[in-house]
Amino acid sequence: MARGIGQYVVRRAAHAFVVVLGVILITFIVSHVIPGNPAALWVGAHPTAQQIQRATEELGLNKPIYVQFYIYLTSLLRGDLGVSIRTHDTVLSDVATGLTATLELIISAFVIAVIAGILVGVFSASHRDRVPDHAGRLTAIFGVSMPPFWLAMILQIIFSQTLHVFPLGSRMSTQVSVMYPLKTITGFNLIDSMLTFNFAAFGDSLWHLVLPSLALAAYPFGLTVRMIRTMMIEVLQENYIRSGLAWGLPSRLILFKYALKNAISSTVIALGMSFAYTLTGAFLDELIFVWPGLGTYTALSILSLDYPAIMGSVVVVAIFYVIINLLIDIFQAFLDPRVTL
Amino acid sequence: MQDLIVSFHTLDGVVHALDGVTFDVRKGEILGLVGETGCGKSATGLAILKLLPDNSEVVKGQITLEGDDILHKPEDQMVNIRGRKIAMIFQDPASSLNPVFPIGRQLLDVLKIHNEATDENGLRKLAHEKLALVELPDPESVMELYPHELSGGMQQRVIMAIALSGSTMLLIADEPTTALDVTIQAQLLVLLKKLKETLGLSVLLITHNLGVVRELCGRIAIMYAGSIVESATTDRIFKNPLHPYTRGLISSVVTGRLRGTVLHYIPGTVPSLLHPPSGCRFHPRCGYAIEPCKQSRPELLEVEDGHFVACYNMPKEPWWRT
Amino acid sequence: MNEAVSESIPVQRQQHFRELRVFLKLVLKNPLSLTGTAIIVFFVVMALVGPFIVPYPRQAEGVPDIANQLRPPDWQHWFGTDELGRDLLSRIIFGARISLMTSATVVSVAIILGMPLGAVAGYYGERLGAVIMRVTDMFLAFPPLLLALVVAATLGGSLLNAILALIITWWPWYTRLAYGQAIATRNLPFVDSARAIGVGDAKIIVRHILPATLAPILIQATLDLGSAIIAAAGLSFLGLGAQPPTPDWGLMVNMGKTYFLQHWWYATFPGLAILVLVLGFNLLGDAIREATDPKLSRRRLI
Repeated sequence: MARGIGQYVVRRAAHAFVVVLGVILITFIVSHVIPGNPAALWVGAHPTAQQIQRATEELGLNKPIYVQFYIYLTSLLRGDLGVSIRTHDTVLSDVATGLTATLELIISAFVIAVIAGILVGVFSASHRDRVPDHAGRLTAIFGVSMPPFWLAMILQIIFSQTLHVFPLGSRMSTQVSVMYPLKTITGFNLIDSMLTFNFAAFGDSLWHLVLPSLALAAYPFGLTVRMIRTMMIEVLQENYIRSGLAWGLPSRLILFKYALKNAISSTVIALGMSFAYTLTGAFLDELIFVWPGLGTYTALSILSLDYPAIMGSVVVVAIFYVIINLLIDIFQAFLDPRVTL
Repeated sequence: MQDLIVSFHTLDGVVHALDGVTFDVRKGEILGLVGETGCGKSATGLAILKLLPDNSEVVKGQITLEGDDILHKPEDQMVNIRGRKIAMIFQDPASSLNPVFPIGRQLLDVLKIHNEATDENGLRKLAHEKLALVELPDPESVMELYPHELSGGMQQRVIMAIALSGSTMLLIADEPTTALDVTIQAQLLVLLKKLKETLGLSVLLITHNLGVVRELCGRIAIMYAGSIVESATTDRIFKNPLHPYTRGLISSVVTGRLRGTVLHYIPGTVPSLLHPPSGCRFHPRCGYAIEPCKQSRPELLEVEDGHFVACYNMPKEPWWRT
Repeated sequence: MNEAVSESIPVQRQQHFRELRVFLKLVLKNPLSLTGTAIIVFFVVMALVGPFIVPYPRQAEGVPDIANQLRPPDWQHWFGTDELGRDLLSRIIFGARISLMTSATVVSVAIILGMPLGAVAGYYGERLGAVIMRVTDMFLAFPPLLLALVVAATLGGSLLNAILALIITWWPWYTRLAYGQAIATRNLPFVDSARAIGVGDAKIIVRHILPATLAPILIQATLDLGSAIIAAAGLSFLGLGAQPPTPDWGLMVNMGKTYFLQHWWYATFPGLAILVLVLGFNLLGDAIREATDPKLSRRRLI
């Protein structure tokens, strides 16, 4: 059985690779249609014609487009994402710092969303078309309809401003980061603080994570509930569920073990897609919570037309997205062996 | 089962599926419930274990197991009966097994429910025993397999093994061999017969296949459009069928001896249970219908010893087929 | 032969009507979809009639009233005023038109572009289809708003550019949807028989394949109308959409961001408007989707 999965993985990986190439191409094309003069941006305020000329040559902007693309590709393979015109740091380092921060946020949001989503989804499906089901569906739809930036602001007003329960933003309060400085190992505050036994930092980071994660979790939560509910309803109609009942299995066992495993397999695809939305929602959330993540970086790059940074962050995000989808495909193969056939 | 009336509430209206079904299954016997598709025989089986879908309604009737009323039992008590005293297996073995779990897991889970006291090892041994019971070779490796890796016949055997996990008294088999090849069908039927003899198992065999029924069953109940029209021992039914429908059914079976003769069939089609005909539901197609047949449904009466028929006007001609 | 064909057509229509009636019954019985429809109707009416009944029409278009800056909600200004003293309620009502128009445009153009493309790809399969789908996959590989962000930033911030950016982001979804349906339909026997009679490819695509792709696309479109509103609002929020003084909801939330900690109403109400309208579309779309899904029949045992 393992051979079937192996071949499947290879197939999907090859497909993903081609897609990534295409993504890079598209991004390149789009960002090079940029009006405005990147060289001028690079030099800074009040550039002279001479400075612009020199910068253009330095940045290789005077070469034809396909040459530029080739240069870009080869440097990508070397791991060189160029230098940000705005920050004058390498894009790679900028992106790396931002990525872990964003990931921490997204992962916590996802965990909340999926756990809560499965519970509500199963609950909803087992009381189909009765009041609990309608309540569950309503919650799900609310989650999905919420403009993420708006939810973030509302949470801020209610929990930060009025109730003073949670902080307004950033990853750690300045007080704590000064008194209990956190060593950066992985870039994930929660992990790093555990590794260095820095419990003050751990608690503080966690405290700062709550509101942003909740704001971000709304959409994937709604999506999860909807998917799980639909899948569970479908599965609960299958013959093997009826057989299970006929053999005397109690309904709790059937719901959570037999039905759920079948339902989850298809939900995983939807989760992958919701990951994409979460990514974009993260961008908006980061701005509101002043979270120093990839989202803020990308948004600022885009707004200042910093094209290496745009390329770099978009490419990284897209690659990430493709990898996640690949992982989901593989995971699905483990859950439901029939997929590999 | 006594006078069971079951209706289904659908978007198109009320379907009168079971209209007074009465029969009984005796200890250690195989009762064949025979009828065409759509006559309600599957619903009858499901009704016994209270597995009817949500839009069903049991209007009235009685189902008792050894004197114990099970029709009105609450759900938590029904769980004790399902798989323990009464078990059911279904038509399509491939879809009756959960595709994402290996066979062993499914078998063990059910065994655990019915044998709470036993430990892990004991359960494994029990599982092997059950698999041996249904004549599956090499239980160790079979348990590792996923349902889609087995053939249809093996799947159905596994299902039987799982179904018989408890100390089952009655096995309801709803067209267990219809989806399988004829050769496999024969093997499974032999297995059923053996189980009846070794375990003292009672079987309610639901089928539309008269040949199977003749092979296997001690008694037969013929069902049409929601009610039993005739029931007797197998011998009697085939030697002297009394209900016009039964006669029509048996005559329609094609054998080699009929070469050169005109094929017999029952005119008309099975009535829609949404708007069933009045009185005896067979009367529009019956060659012997008289006035009372249109007015009211005939009751199931004992005409000879052990031979029940529900008809106002049984054909008087003696039966010529063997 | 002719009689047989002409007889079957009225029968087909009868069947369609019956299906439609059952479908409507299911959708209207559901309290969720009923609410959703009500919401949508409410907003559409508001968009159409609003400009005539709005309390402060000129302020809605942008004329400031500095004296009344940043007032909390009161009887004169039910939703309060913004930093230029403009009545939020009026601006929100005007904004309904913008939002509805934006999402309708985005979704319909995306469908017009994507659906035929997908149908063609699915019908011709093999090389042409594979090429089209590879390109589509590449577009789909982008996290949705990212592409829109980049495009909008490139083109500059304006409502039109935002719409353009969103169309570019959205069309691949419909292509994929249409592709799937087209492949399924292409394999049906009646397509082969049509070909055998000599019906041209173009005609087959238009008369048979396209209608088959319509159903899932329509369902998706209902939901997408809501998503497009959020996406457009997101772009406006970043300043890449409508520009001031346009009363665009996303833009208002963006402006409100600076003030809202002290003046909660500024960001809350436009966002609420977005939420409710999108809720309406999602409620309706969700209910339709459940009603038309053939796999979700009525058997229920647990």
